[in-house]
Amino acid sequence: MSPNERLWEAIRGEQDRARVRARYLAVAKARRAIGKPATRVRRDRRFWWASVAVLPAMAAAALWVVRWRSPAPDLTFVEADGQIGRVGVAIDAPPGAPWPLRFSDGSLVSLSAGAHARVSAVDANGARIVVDRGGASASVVHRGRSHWVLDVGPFEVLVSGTRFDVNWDSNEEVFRLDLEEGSVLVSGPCMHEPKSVARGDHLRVSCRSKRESTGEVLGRPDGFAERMSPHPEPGATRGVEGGADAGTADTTAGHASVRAASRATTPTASVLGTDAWRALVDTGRYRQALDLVERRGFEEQCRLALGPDLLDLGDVARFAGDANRARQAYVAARDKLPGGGRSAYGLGLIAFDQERDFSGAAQWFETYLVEQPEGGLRREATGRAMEAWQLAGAGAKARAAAQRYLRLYPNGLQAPLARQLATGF
Amino acid sequence: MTDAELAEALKRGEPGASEVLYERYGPYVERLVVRAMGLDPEVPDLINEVFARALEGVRGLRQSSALKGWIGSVALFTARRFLRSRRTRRRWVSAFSLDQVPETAAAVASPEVSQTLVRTYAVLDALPADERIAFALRFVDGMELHEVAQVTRVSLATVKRRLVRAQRIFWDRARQDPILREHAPVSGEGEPT
Repeated sequence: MSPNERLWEAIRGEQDRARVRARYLAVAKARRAIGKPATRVRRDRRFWWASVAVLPAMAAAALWVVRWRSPAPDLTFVEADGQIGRVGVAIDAPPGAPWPLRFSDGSLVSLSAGAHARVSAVDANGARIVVDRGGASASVVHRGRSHWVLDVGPFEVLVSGTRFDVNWDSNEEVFRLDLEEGSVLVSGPCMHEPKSVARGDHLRVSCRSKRESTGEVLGRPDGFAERMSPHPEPGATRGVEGGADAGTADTTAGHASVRAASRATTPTASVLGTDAWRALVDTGRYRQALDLVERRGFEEQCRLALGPDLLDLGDVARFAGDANRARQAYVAARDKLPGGGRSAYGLGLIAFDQERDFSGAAQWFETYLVEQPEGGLRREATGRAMEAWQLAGAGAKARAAAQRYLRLYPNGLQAPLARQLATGF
Repeated sequence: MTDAELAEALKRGEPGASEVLYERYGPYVERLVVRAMGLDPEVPDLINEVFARALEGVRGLRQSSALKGWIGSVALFTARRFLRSRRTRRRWVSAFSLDQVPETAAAVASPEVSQTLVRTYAVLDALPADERIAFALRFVDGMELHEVAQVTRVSLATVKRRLVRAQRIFWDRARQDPILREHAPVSGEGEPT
């Protein structure tokens, strides 16, 4: 390899690494453009405008650089039995029931009964899940940077934010996918070319007969709701008592199963206690769940609902992308739960992820740590507070938060970032 | 959905088609823009602009199956337009302001970005937009000559001419840079296009 070939290779590699890290920016921008009238960035040529334009450009660059310096922690996941999942370890779903895997970003992948699978990789933006046998139902939380891949038999399903049901029948060599929301890109050895499947469509591929068919999904696929219904968990009642957070990060995903056992004995006039609401939440249909509450009057429902239900409502609104409604629900929950429950953490997530108000987010995470000194989200809140202070440009506070993180969680997921911040670099 | 089907769906304005376009060609457009521009803070805006232009202009696409080549050319056209306007703006600004306005490109010169990359694109800034794009695609991206011709919508001969000129300018300047000079071909040997 000649010296200049090495130069090009080095540049290419550097750019590609940066592209992966910064992809969220481009994705977010482009997605905003989609579906809207074409708009262009105005670039005035007068010098005084150019001078002003330097400021946002530098801010964007600074944000970009900050993001490079502070990679988000990898996702974690919890299996149906409450055990922390491990990457690369085989998972055998029991024959009689689905086996949900809950990810720390709120995504849920539920293996069908008897499925054999493993989570082969995770990063901050998603995971790669290999399903060797059987199927899975997935509800992937959409974020700008989301990148999920399911290897189902010999097929690869590229996912952004979506809900779908997928299955590989190795005996008949038939691949089946039913897509409820979003879109996915499927490729496989029996297909002529990668195929994009849109909302409401199904895809069937028979490798034996070399046939593909697509069409509209007619009704729910068999067993979909059952698979998406979360598995009973050990310690599930923890979240019931007094509305304290339920002990693991995945409870922020808004799946109401944690409190399902107590629901029957909890009298409430709120729609949040109904089977219709619960079915929507349990199957990840957050927009429809929120619409149901809106139809009954959101403020009225906030007044009627119990504290734990309001936390669920906040989660649901957050996953549906409605930051204002999520904030309303969490704030309402603060009045009804001892110490606010995990509402401060939810408010911090809204500020951090949806509003990019890092200073506000940091304050909410700090509030959570004060209100819930034994809370199950303490580690996440400590790490998030550290990140938020750093992104807010509060160097001294970020350093203090980093030192606190290292003292409490020296081997935590965010320990590398904490060490950087604590040492001033 | 094939490219032709997607193009027809876009022309009919079918719901969801634009999302599929982005899913399928977002990374490709991003790659082309980054190669042409470098790690510039304007990249996200330009990608936005590429898709806005594409959605607006897709009805003019005659050969629906050529969707990938077409959106690639939209990306490079957008990048070229921006590069040209930035050069114009710099000249204009320098004529009216005694103070040096910071270049947006300098804002990404962080410890995380290798000095080599930053200096390479600083040198590329000296090239005219067409030459710069041809050079970046051929050498930084590693495209074959015919691919460069296809995506920039010019003849092979034009690509070769641009590359010859671009290489001469690039290496003349790179030899004056303490980091880049070690990568330069021996003077007089020239560079294969």
